Amino acid sequence: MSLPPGRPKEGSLPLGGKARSAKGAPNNLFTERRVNRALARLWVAAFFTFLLAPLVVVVVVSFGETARGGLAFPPKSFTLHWYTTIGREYLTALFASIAVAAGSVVVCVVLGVPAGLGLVRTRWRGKAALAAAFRAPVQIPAVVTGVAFLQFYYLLGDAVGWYGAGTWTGLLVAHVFIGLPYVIGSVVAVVQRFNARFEEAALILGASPWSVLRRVTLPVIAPGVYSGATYAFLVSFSDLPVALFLSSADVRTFPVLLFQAMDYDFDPTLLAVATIIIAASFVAMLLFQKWVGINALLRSGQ
Amino acid sequence: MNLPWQRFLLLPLVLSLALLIASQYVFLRGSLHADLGVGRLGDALTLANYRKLFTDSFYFDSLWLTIKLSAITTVATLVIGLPVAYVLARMRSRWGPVLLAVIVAASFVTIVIKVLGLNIIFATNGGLNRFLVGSGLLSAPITLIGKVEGVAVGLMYFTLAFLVILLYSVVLTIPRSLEDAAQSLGASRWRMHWRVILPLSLPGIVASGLIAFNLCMGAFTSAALIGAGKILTLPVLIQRTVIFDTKYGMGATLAVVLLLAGLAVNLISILVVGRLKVARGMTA
Amino acid sequence: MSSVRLAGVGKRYGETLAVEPLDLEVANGEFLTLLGPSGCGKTTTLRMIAGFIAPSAGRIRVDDDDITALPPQKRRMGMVFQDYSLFPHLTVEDNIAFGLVERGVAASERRMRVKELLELIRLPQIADRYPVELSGGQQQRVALARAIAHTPRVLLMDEPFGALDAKLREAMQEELRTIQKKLRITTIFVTHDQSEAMHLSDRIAVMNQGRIEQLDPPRRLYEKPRTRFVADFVGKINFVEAVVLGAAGDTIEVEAAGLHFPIRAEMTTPVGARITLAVRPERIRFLARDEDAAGWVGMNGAVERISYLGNVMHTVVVTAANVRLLVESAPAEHASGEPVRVGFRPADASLIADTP
Repeated sequence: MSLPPGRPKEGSLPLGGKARSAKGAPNNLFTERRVNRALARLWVAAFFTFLLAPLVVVVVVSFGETARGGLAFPPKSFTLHWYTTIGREYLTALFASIAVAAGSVVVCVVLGVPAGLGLVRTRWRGKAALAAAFRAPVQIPAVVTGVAFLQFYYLLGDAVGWYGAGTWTGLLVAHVFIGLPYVIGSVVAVVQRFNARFEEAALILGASPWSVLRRVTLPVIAPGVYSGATYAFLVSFSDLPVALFLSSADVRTFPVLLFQAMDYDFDPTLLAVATIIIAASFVAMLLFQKWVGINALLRSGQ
Repeated sequence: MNLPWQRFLLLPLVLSLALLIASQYVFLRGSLHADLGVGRLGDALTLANYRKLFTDSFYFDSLWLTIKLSAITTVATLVIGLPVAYVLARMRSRWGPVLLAVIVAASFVTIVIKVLGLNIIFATNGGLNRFLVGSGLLSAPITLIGKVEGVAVGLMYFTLAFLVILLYSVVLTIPRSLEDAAQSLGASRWRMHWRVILPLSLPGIVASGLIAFNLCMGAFTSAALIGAGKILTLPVLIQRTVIFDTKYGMGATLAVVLLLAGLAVNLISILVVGRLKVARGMTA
Repeated sequence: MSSVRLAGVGKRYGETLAVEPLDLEVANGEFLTLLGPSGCGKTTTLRMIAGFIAPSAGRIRVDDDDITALPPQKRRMGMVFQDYSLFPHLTVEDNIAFGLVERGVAASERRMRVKELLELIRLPQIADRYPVELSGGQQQRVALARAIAHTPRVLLMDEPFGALDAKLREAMQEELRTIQKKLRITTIFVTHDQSEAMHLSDRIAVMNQGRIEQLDPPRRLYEKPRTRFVADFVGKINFVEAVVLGAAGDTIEVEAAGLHFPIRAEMTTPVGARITLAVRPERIRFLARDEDAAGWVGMNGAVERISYLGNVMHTVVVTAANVRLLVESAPAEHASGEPVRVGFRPADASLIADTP
């Protein structure tokens, strides 16, 4: 609907331009806004339904009785049965996943914090290349990493006698490989925003360089370290492809177990464990928000 | 500063470079050797594997399928995710960050569990399908397993949360005052989106989209679980070639091609984004 | 409390000379300000004194110790930064006690000292708060307390009041003066705000492009600026170009603004030389028409522009010789374009050595 410029209809947009609005609706700014808002809300609601449906289903079914042993949604009745009969093997795998993730986080932090600090503070000409080298593992699809490490470990085994494939250590090293970029990226982000004046202030107050590091630098960059560490933990914990290549009969993380179970023989108690993991993820999110805030997460891992 | 920062870098650098180079080198090298069956590699360097990949339709189709699927999924995810990212970024109430936190939490959960949920939802005699077929809306139940559409859905789940988070940051970089300015000049909200928000966020959208594309190309889990051996995207094929066929040479070749495809995409993204930014007169 | 001596201290970055080798002596207990526009080298000089920048040339001495090679943490100085740089993860108490912890002072003693300092800055209740909870003015005072907690020999301040609004800035300036006088701590202050410098300092070093152009107490700086830059930077000034017609003893005869008059000159100026006279706006007076007051140089002109500033009025007058003068006077009734007569006393004019 176009208006000649200079003759605005009452309640319409300011002078000039064509007033566009929903067909038939009065040329009213507020109606348009209300319609838009309703549409937007609908879209967002649909999005969240889509996103969360699988998780919700898993949680609900884990509490459900199934007919004839199969999985049914919606369940016919509710029970805690699956929670009380979680197979030992699943719990072992779950704890193994946690252990490997925790271990790889520790190594990532020990390596990544100095690397991040060094990356920002040194004046090397090859720094960009270095930064790219540190970021590289993220660009490599996990499958490829899995294959690469598998073959690398074979070669290493032939050369040195230690065969990493199918060992916890081998898996840990591979997880450090894929988790390190997140810690370094996060530390770099927070150090770059770090006010160098803090360190100067500490220096002039008499602190030695090591004291400055310990008392000022590290505490102030801590949020970045935490968020990077969280990412690294998640990357390790939820990883499937790499673990799949590097696992064996004795060395299986929970995602691997779940994956194989889904292919072959599905045990409903797995739903219970899955629900526990979902709950843990949300709890982790809450804790994280309390400590560090969502903004830190947004800025890290980039 | 008097701290010897260089020394800090040295150890992590050496270790990660060693790991990076060593692992990649080994399998890159493997791709240049012929498979002798039962996991042995020939001694001579050869490009036979690469030739086979591009000539044998079995392998080539997989590559093509992967690219197509990734492209479609990326576009779909962008279309679905951008409005959500925008709404969340502009929300003034405290629910904005909360909803974002929910998305982040959802992205923490491993894709295996999400596929598990999908399987349950779309089970042939599950509640959803029984309703759809029973009420006559569909003639046959929706299944995801073994279908390309199913894998696409799985890939979407893999990238959706992450992409919304990325796009959220992109929208945040556009000051709200620009929207007010546009509206004060007579633009309706739709026009404002079209003429202001979209152009300004285009570099960010393209960059995020390319990241998502990369993710889809390399996505293994959802493709493996939903594809059920019938839909062979490149990552799935790699796993099969290495683990089941024990053709390490070919497996490495496939992996190299996957890597190169990702690299090519990255390079394109840098070029495109750079071109876009310059064109709009923003700091290059 | 100590004296600071810079001998030939300069800083060069590749091709650029940030600070030309300069000599500076700050007496025990003195408040000296480095004043100048951005890029003049004042902050670089301060940071060399602090030890964050190594001088390219020269030595720095505190009392009799040559500290040029000492790192900052060994110099026993206190510093207040432009953005305060309070440690965000520590409480006010821990911030203030930071230097004391480094020196191994016992906890009970630290607590006492912090209490003492909090009283000095008149914020006794905030020991347990975090910097993010404090206002700008409060943060500023805590930064000061932190800097002096370990009884430094010298206090360095890098544009500390830049981020405060005008009223608060004035209050803080007063407070700083009181504290400094009480503690009698040698202070080196950096600012680009000349009224702040005038207010606080015992002496001011005006810097421009890496050089100290003049080092004098505020009054002498204002009344007798030696270079064009100093005259223009500190306060407002009128420049009148003149030619030397003759010299006799310590008086020279000049022609300026179409008039001849004698003026006292401290330096020898050859006949025919072009010099600049500098006159402060408040030293120019409105004369009655045809008035020829003794000792005053009078000129006829017209009002070009008037600014009313509340307590004073600024009038721009263009004289018959086409010289533009800014006159500061009590508010009066002048209209734009109105013919007026203005005058000044040669004794109130300064001779500026460097003429463009």
